[in-house]
Amino acid sequence: MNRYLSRILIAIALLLVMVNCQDINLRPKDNLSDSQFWKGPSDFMKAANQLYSTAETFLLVDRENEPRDMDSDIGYNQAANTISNGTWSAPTSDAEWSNRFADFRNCNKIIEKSESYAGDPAEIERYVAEARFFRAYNHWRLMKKFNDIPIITSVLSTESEELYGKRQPQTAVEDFILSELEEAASKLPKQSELQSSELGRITQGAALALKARVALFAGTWAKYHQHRSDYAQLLDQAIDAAKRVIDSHEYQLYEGAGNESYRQLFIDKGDDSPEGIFDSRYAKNIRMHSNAHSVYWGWRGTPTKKLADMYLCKGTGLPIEATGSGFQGYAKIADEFKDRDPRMSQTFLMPGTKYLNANGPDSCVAKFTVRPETRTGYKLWKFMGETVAGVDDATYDYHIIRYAEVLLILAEATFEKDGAISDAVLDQTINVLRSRKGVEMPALNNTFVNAHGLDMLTEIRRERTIELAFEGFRRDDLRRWKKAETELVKPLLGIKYKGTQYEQLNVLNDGNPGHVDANGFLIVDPANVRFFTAPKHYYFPVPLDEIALNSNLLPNNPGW
Amino acid sequence: MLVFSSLGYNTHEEAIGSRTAIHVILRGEVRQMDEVVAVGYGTVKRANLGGAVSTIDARAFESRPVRNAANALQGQVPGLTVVRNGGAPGSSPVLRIRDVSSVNGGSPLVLIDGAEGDLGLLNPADIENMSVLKDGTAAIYGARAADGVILVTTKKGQKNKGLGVSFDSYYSLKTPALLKKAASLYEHAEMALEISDGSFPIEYTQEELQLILEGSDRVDPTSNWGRWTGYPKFYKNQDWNDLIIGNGNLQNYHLGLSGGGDRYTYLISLGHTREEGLPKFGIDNDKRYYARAKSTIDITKNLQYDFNLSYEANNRNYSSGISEGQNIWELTYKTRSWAPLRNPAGRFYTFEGFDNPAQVLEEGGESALTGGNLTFNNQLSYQVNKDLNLVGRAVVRKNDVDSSIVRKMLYSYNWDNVNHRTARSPNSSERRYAKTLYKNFTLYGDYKKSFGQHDIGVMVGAASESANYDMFSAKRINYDQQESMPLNLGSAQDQLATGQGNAWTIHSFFSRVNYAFANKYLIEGSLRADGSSRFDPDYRWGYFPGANVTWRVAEEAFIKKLHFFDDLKLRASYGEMGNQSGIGPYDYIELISLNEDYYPFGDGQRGQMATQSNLVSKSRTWETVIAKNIGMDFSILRDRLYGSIDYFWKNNNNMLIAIPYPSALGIQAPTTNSGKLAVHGWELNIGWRDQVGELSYSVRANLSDAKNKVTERIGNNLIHKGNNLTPTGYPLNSYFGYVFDGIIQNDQELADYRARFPNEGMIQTQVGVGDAKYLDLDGDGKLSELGDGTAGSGDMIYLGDTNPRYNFGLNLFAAYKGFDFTAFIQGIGRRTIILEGEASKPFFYPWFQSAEYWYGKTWTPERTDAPYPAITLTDKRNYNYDYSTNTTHSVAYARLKNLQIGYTFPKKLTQRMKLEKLRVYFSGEDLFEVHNTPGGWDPEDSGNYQNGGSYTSYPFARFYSLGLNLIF
Repeated sequence: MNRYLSRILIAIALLLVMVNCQDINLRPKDNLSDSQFWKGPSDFMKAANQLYSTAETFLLVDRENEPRDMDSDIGYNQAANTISNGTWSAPTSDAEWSNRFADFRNCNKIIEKSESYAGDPAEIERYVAEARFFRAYNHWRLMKKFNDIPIITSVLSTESEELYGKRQPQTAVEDFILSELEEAASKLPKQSELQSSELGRITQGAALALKARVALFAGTWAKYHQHRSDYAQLLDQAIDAAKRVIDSHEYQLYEGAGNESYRQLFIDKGDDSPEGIFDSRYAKNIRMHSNAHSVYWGWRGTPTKKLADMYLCKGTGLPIEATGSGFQGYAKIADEFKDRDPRMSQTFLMPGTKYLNANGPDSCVAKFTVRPETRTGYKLWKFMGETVAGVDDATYDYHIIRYAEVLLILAEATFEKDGAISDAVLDQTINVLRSRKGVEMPALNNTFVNAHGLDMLTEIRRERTIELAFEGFRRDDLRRWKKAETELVKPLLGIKYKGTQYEQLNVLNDGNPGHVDANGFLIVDPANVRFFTAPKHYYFPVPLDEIALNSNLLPNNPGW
Repeated sequence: MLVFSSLGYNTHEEAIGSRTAIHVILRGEVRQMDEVVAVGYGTVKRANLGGAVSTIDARAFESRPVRNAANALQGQVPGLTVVRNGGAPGSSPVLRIRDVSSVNGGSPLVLIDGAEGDLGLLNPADIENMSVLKDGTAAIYGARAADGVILVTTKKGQKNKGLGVSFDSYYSLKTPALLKKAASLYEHAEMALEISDGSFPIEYTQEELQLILEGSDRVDPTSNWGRWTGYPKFYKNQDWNDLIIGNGNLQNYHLGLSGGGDRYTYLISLGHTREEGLPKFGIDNDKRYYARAKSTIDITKNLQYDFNLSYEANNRNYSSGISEGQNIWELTYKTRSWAPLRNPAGRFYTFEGFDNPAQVLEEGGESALTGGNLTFNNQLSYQVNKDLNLVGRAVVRKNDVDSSIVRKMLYSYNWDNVNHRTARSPNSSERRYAKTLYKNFTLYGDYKKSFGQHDIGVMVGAASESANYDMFSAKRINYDQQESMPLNLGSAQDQLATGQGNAWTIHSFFSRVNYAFANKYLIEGSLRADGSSRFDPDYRWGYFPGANVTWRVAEEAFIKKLHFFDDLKLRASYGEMGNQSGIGPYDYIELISLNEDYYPFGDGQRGQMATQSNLVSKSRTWETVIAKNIGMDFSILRDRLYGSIDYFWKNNNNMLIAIPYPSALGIQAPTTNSGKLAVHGWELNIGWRDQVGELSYSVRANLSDAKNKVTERIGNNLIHKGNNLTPTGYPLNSYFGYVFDGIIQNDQELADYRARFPNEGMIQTQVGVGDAKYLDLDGDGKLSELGDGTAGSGDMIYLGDTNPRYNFGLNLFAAYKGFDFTAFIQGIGRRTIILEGEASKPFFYPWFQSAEYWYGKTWTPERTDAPYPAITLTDKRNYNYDYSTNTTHSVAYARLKNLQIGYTFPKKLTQRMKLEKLRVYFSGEDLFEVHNTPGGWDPEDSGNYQNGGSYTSYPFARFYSLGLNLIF
């Protein structure tokens, strides 16, 4: 038995040795653990870089890539937009809600980690400020859609109470955003201080411009929807922030492409221009998009008659419906484009124009089915890239915030606060836009308005709509001016068809019955299928899934 | 020559010569009950086996034209289902034992000669037998045995036998089996004419249909038709399935040498397989080289050393378009049925922006994958005394895969032979190298002793396993020439290099105790403890007990008196096994991940983006599956009729599931052990074998079924339309949808329907005659999604789940004189299929044609009894073809999996050629099926019908082969 015993003991010893020779406490081989990160400024920079990738861009990424402004009265895509005509139902889930919370977490993580940073806080101060900017920016995106939203300022875990918190009233959210942006602005560099390799990072100008935008929204919402009584103070904040951007002289309108500057601003030549305050950047082989081809195909929406009629006549500076405006009518295709605000023919692609698209030189025809496709008869040119490249290889940037908007904010906030606007302010704002190279429209001033029986507020709003057309502002503008209930129920119309050159050329696509209204304009979405219930449709509903998971989000927005 | 034979005994032949008296002893054939079955760390006689273990012997793999042994398992074992993943040469199917154990997947643990291995890399000719541990007997393997264990034993030489040489070879012709058919040009044009709301620009008018019917060669150059401006208009139907998909072949050669002496045995096995794929253009082949050397050496009387060295090399060369980028199956399906293959100048023709699949195959670049798998398995067994045996085993396996993927740009030519675009730009060349090093050290001791009527066995052991994976890749783009594209000829600008790696380790201790009384009452218990590196050190260890009892009823006196049963056995087993397939290697550590993409700042600066990748929960641990089984084995009529019945329950009481949290969390929460899954089912196995004169035959049938149900889960049970992963009270992957109520036939019905849903905007404004009607189950006037059909909670009901039900297999075998015949039929009784994504409706997108399935089945004013709503291209089509009882298909199928007819030449003839045996045979695989799956979908497809899934994947093939077996 002894010899067995010794052999068995040897076996057991071997067993124990063998079992322990392979380590069981393993470290990740190809990833950093959280405890190894957050050690230096470059770590904070990498974490901040992540925040840029979810900023707004050409399409509404969180709304299944819907093109901008299709939810309003100035654009129409290939089928009726249910948000535009008020027939949409409360969704079960909404990416525009859920994705913002992921952004909040990433922002809050940077801010939280900065508090326990072992090194010199000055090194990372700028990235923390960027994180605060993005936190405010993303709260803004959530607020403008859902109005009352939760404010998240810490990194949450599955046990946090805030997960099941209530929605904060819009007032509190607005104040939070505005104060955050002000704080962040003080720690951010100026545009001119950026090194060329940092171009695209958040600057002081971006924080102030966003503050002006949010304050204008809050102020006008307060004035017309009365959700708070201190609208004058908010408009003051807007005016102040806008003035600071203007007075910094860090930005100016893009004029580098001569008479084509307005249109080129939005495509390749407009990259890195002095007008861009906060851009969503793209570059060859690093980050690319497909909008050059898509706009050419007609998949980014087409303008409606509403937008077409807004452009003033160039010679007189009068709206087309005014007597003596110089409007040439609709008989021939080119007639309605004659002698109009040049921004019209830089936004619309007029049939007969020779143009460049991502496949090369081309010539536009009126037919609806010939690209760019249209359902309204008007074709979109703004945002159509001209550099020949593959379908997914366009590289021009998207301007999330640009200088032109700051000027418009100053003008509108001034008027809304005082009920009047001086010519001096008009010359600082609207007339700067009107004197852009290639636009050169007559100036707007109080004398002109009075002489022709126009309304200054209408003219300011008109200037805003045509300057920012297809940049995603229209619906929110109609909401905050409380005009959506009258404007969105009007039918969406297209070109004048009856008795015009369009009819002779037989431009409609097969199967389109060519319904026209009493004046011969093509009806694209008739009034009897366009609904707007106030106050319900001024708001978006909190998605039903979220309410099922957290009933404290109730009550839902009015009417939902 | 006299031949002595008797049922149950080995046939014996003896030359008479001039003898007048002959004494012959016939040896008994191995009865079913005497079969030796491999179980964990040891073997046991089937007579004493208390668990549900099925065995498969080498015959299932011999002479079958399957390259992957796993494919040969289909229908052989009740409870083992094989789900194929597309028919690409070199692809591996998914194995499943007794349905699933968890929503996180997991597959059976496959052990080849005691260490984890890949069935797809093993030479099927090397397999001696397989044991499938289906129930609690797998508990001895603890942590990864929740889905069952498959033990594979390879062939070895025999002692005291001269050199035996065997040679096997076959050649197979492959033809495509079921192909998804797109609508022909005529069908597509007719369907397009049905669209009456103007949403689809007309491509062919009613008059032009006649031209299409005639197959007119007319081409209208550069026209404007439909949505195509500036493209020629064609009128002839092109069958792209025919143009692209052709036949392939499979060849196999195997040489085996084995023998042994007094104190040693040896076996050498060499094999080569080569398979050609189905596409007519480009290349697609898979080559395998197998080499194995095995030897057992008796170092001393008590000490035996087993040496097993094998190397499997594989090489796959294929046109990159077969699996990279937009793959050619999708392109073949979507290429318009009017687009011809070539333009008049002879080049591949590209219609508008859609790549020509033949061009993609020929000119899109070639990829190659070379892999090698070296396994070094050695074992030392020491017989300490007649009762105690010690076994030590060390296995080291190195697997490496070297791939080269070259993607070329395509120059697309239009009808006028102008190169109008460059597709698939930029071109790229990528090299990737991945290696895995796997080690397994096991040591166990086995003690057996008998005291009178008592038999005792004890086994104790320990094991340590680890795997280490590393991968790195390098890629360069924008080559300015495409003749030859190795990495070094590319530009260093925009080059990419990346790497990846992970590792895991498991330490285990295991033991088993057996007790048998009077060879009639047996009981066994086992316990295993596993510690895995995947868990936080405080939650690292899991304990997995198992037990089974057997009552050999046939040994009881009262049964013996009946003279009815040759064998009868009742058994019950219990076991707890672990599953770690839902847990990543480092899940308890909070990680930061760097995005693969960059954000471009000024000057082309690539900004790296870092974000927290996971939320950590330290208390996550193994899923434990508790398996219970009761069964009965019997054989009667002199062992000619035999069978077994099993009924089993599996419960996963701490399944890792994702609980939905409010979005405010901002990150995906980790799955937590908060779900419960219950599976139950039964298996039935019956066989009959007999010999009538010179004809011996056998029939074996098996039938099994299993159902799973999510019994409980913490957190909200939000049931959505479509696929729901873990809905409480329903099986995994359950589909929910609306109840279809017919099609609106006229204005009155439209008005009534609108009155049913006053609160639903779309129904009030867009739905019209010819569109679908659904029921409002909860009566709130809205067509709402949330809910599961229980009162007040929504408008959806349970539609079914994709698990196959009622799996059956039928094996037929007959041998007469020199002929042998084998047939094997396999199928399922029921399965739910829902076409999703691009397959879900006619005219999903206006730029490619629909599936042929929809032709003639859609509503028009002339065809009001059609089952499906009218075709339209507005958003209404999503409403019409939504998940509902109308878009659910219940399929069943029976497939002739294998048919073999062989002839063994008489010994007299062969011995003149100095051959021991010569057999020639015809063997066919997947020859024929009976099924009711819609439109060309293969009923065996893995069930993922979404974009990129099996909707467009490599078609399965039928094999027709001729082969021969030679033994020298």
